[in-house]
Amino acid sequence: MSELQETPRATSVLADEEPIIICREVNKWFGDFHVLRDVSVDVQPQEVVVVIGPSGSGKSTFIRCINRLEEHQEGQIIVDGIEMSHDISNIAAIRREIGMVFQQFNLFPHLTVLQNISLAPMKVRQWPREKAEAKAMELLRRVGIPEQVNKYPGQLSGGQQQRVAIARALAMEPKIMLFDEPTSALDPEMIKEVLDVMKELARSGMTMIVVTHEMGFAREVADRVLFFDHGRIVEQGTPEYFFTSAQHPRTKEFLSQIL
Amino acid sequence: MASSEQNFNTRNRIIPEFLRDIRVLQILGQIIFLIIVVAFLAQLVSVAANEMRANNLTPNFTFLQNRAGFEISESPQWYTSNSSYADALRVGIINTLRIVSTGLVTATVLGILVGIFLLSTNWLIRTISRVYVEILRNTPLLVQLFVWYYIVMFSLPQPQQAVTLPSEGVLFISLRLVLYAVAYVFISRSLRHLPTDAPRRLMFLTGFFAASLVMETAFYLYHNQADWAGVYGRGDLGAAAFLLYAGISAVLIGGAYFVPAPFRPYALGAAAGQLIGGLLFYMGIMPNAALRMELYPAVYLSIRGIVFPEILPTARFAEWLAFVVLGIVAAAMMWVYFRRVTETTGRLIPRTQYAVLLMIVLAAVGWLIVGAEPLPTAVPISGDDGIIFVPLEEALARDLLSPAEQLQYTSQPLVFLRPAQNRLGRFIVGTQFSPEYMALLLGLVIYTSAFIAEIVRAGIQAVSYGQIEAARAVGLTQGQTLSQVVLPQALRVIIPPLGNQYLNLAKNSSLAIAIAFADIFTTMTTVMNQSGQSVTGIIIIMIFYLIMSLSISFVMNIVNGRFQLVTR
Amino acid sequence: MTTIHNKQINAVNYEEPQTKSPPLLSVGPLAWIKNNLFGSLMDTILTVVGAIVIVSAVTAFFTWALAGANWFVIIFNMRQFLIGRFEPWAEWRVQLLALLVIAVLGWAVGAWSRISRGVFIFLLVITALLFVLPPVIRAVVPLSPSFVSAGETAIAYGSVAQQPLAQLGFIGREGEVITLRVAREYSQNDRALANSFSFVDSPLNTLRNAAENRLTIEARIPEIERLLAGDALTPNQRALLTADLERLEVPPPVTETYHLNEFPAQVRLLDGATMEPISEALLSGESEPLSVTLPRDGWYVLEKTVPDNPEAVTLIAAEGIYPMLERSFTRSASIGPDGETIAAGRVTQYIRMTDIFLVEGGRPRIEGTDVPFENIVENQYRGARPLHDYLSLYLAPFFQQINTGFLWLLIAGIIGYWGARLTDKYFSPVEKPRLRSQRIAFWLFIALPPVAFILVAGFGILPPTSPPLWGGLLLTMLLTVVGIVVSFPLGVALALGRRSSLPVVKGASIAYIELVRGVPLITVLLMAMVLVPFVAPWLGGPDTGPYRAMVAVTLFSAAYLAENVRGGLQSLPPGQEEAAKALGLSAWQATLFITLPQALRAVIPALVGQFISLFKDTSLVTIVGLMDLTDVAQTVVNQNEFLGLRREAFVFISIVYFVFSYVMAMVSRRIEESGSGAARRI
Repeated sequence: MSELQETPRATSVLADEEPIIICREVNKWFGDFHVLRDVSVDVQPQEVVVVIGPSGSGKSTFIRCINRLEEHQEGQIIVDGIEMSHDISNIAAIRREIGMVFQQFNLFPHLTVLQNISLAPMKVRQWPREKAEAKAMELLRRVGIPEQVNKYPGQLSGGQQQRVAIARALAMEPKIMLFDEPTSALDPEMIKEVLDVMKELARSGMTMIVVTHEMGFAREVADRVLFFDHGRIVEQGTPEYFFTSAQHPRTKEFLSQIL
Repeated sequence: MASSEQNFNTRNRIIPEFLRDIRVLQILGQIIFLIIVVAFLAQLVSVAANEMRANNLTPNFTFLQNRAGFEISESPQWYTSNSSYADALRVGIINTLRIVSTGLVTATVLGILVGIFLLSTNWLIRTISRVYVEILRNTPLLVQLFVWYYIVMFSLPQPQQAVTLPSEGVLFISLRLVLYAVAYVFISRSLRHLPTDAPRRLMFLTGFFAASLVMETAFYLYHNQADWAGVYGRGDLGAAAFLLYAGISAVLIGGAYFVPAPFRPYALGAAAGQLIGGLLFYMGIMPNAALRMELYPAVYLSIRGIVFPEILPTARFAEWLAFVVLGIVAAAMMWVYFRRVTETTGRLIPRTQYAVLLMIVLAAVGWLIVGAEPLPTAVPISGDDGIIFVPLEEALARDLLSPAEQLQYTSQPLVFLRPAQNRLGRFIVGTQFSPEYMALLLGLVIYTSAFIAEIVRAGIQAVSYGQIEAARAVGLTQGQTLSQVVLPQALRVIIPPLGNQYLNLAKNSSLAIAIAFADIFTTMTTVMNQSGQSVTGIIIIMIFYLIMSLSISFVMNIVNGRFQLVTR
Repeated sequence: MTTIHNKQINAVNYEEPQTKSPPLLSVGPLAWIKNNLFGSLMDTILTVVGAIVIVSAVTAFFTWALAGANWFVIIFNMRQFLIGRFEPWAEWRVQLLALLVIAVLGWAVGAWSRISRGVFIFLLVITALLFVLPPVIRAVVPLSPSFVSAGETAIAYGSVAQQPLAQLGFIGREGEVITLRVAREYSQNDRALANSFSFVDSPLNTLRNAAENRLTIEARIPEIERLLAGDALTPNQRALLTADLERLEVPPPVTETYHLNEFPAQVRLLDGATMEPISEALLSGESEPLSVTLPRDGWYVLEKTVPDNPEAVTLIAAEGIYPMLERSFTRSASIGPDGETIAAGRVTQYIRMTDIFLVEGGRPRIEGTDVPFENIVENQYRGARPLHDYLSLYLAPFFQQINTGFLWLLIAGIIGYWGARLTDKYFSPVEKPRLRSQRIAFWLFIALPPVAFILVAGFGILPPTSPPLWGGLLLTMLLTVVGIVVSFPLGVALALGRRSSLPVVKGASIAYIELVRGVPLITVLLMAMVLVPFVAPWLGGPDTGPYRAMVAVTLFSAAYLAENVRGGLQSLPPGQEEAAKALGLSAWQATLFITLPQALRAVIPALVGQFISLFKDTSLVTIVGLMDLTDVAQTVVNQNEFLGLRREAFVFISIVYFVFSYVMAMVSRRIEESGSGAARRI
């Protein structure tokens, strides 16, 4: 165990590539409340990281810091070689490389499914309309709902909306995908269709950070599981290690409650 | 059970069957209601008509053809006191429509601005706009109108001492400052392509300005000491100035390469600022070379209202207009074409800028071509002994031409006439707006803007924060987030109450009577007082306002329909 | 990928979580300032611009309000602003009404809400201050003296020529001390004269203008010369300035021209009733001031001359002589405060503007003419009135004016509040601790409007008052309350009619609502004024203006109220009506007992909003010639003695309107937030 503590950034020795996300000693406060405490994580390209933990433990805040929906106050976050600073061109550059899927879908209700997906590629990547729409159609086929292309979000079921949201994030051809509890707002029968899309995405080699309560998904797909508690990473490891031989009492307590 | 059955039967016997049918009952009830309403209205009308007849008045519309006999201060030229009542009403309608149309646009713009201020992250701005809104919403419009008219307008100066914009005088724009600004823009633009590193860029610019400041101070001190009256701008700067420049330059440029790396941008910036400032100085453009511009008043603000320059089309205006129309058509075609190019190839072309440029170029070229046409050298003047030809310059100099002829013999397609006053301070040239018009417009616009601001704030706040986050997460910029995501959704909340405020503004314009602005309501009251035709008068006013309200509702309903969301 | 599946990545963090305090700039006041004022470059610019704007606006306003404005127009006309020309013999009815209203409001507060101890103490402190401050101010800060001129030469400036008066009449109280001395402080040089302020007479005012003009010209000539020497002038400006320069000529110093204070002034103080001299003295710059104690209330005359030189003017500082106002009106016979009968007739009153001390009857006469008095003009301060003069001139009288009324209202409010609290304590069931007081409050609110109307109008129960004399805030309130209360049943009926399935009823309701909402209130008012007499001749007389306005306001308000109620009906879930019908209630019963009560509760905030907007809209009756609050302001500033004081009057009524509307809006917001207005969801 002592050996493990000496190498907190354990993954860096594993791959020859540079990590695509580097977080060092990230701290964040909401007012006086210390939300993230010295969080240090490296994520390798093509790695699937699942973040679990009790609610209020800072896991959502953590992934929202990665694309600057929240601003961290101390420490460093480096995404794809670009350091997150106050410079708006940095932030824009990072956001272009990161797709994000929200718990509440957050589709634009005044745009059709097609417009929802093609908006950002056209406005941000400045693709011609044909290219953006072709990409949108391709993604809709990939998430399995090409027939909904001209509907408005309000006309779709929750599962369909979340799949559109995934397609919308993928349309920017991001290198990293962030999922913030993507299945929490869904009816049980719709969870599977969304998880299937995510599994397919993981198999295709996308770098993913997923905040979720779906332990089955974590077991099946994750390369690594992070356990958050009180704003810090208490324990991390492969799914087999995590679900079978977790060490920390908080982890054990948490697992005993949900399994 | 039995008793109720019995009841039922008793009723059955008393009330015939068809009267128990709910449909019949409903129709009967409505007929009775209708009869009561109609009878009441008929009673009203007949009593009113009787009363009026007793006063020797018959309600009719023919009186509208009678001579009005009163002047309207704010009227087109065709209206005189000899015009008919109908003409007076026409003037009133024009004035109401002027106020309402201008008011709607300005109130919307101001309201949106204040609404955005209400949501500002800046506490001070937020508070100021909150106070603005609360004060305006909680005091009567009439009181505000009185304040605008009797207090604000009446405290304006007499026309002879009118507040002018710009005020007459000479403006010097220092060339040095212009060049600094150009250098600043150039440097900061070129720095944008360097690796993104904000502090370094900041350091560079700080150095640039610091050095410039030092230079400027040094020159200023030197200049004051030496009293160079008469020497400015000739390049005769003397050895001292050269030494000063050379010394600072050498130190800074040389030193820039020896300073430690983190501070090198400072030094380089300082050297650049020094170099540019010094060169300008040494080349003799300095220190006082300036663009000298004589400014003359264009807008006059006084107790008589506001006066703008008059823009008059001349005889050649039509020819120039052809060029302008051509420019608009060409620009539109180009814009459409470029949009197609962008959509098919993805190649970005700044199509709007190009289109505007094309329009301006064509208008300018047209102006030159039209203006280049030679004027006749001599013009016919009809004098005592028939028509004689007088050279144009002489005719102009001796003031022989009527205003219309002057416009005919002008080479430019448009002439801009600055306002001019006669000795009594009356404006004889210029587009004038009376103080009544201004007070009413200001009152309506500012009052309505407070309500619109609240509507805009509520509309924007109704867009859930998740939408903004999603827009950011897919990489949209702040402007794109606002224009593509927030506004389209806010508008659907904003438009219905906004339509109500538009209606209120249109209706509130009738308060013109309180400050005697000649709108439809004021004119109609005068007509009613003179002719005694109060019933007809009120009916005409009501119909006018109803039509105006209905038109506004109609337009807003169409707009609203376009923004509704489709849901399951 | 499989390379990553290595057990080496498994790691546990055993350290106990430790808390660090956040960086300085992310919490606390500094963070607040950074985030709320200087968040970005744009924010910083906006903050600076906003701060400049707000500071200059607030400074300008308070400079004007404290050092420039003449608030006497408000203090003097307070009665008009509040109740118009309401008959004095029935004034007690309005006072009683105000107490009743406040008591009912106090009851309502007690029934639905609670007043915190802080608010209560605050109110008590305010009341105490209202009583304590006026005497304290009077004792601590005496008024600045008046300045009057003596001499025989006419003082000329421009087209004005003013000769100092030989005799000046003034009124004073028994025991007041008049002190006269030569005003040396104003005679040193022109600058001292130009900076003079306080109450001055017209010749001195002219002197002051002349001195100021001379200083301006003196400064202007070098300024023009400097401008002409430079090259920053257009040819036009150059020509104008050259002409100016030729025209301008510096007059000799004003102090020298009039030998200011060089010769002693002979002053004599006469009793106005008997014309007997009380005291006299020859005042020079060095002599002791002359002090006289006035023997009784009434008129006095100050005679002043400069006997030694007819060309000379001497300035006298007079403490105890202050500007006055004359007003004449016809009074109907009435009973005085001591039970004596006051005869009807033309009355002339003289009122001292500094403290509303009042003398009735004629002025003293000398050689067949009334002694002049009005040449002391208040407000020669020109925006430089010292704060102590503001306090003793305006604040103290204002507080004195309102303190008794305020105390009574406070007592009424407290009685109402505790009435509700005690009712609940002793009579409400435990499970619904506020039931009784809320029931009673409901009935009080229903009873209040008719009671108010009877108190104001008489209405056959009390002796009638004359409607055209109703005015000020009373009329504004009356119109508003009648507009809301009477239009209520009409509005509810229209709302139900609009939702009716019967096409004729529905059509008629829609036609009425849209017709009224499509035209401005002023047309409805005009229609009522012009057409109602045709239809209802008993409302045709000259005395019925307020009634006709009430008809208009009611008809107008009903349409808007109907739309509000319809909104409330639409907000109800359809299940309510279905459930009622399923229970066997008839359509009428379902509406009356199920949907309407819920709908009305839901629209309470909207109704308050309409009340506010009607309260503001009643100002339009000014246009049709009624004497509401706005009209009183307009009328007052058109009187001779208050000409040019429009700002003061409008600022005052704006504050009144604002306070009422804003308080109502706050109440509405609280009802909305507390949810008691919303349809209760089960």
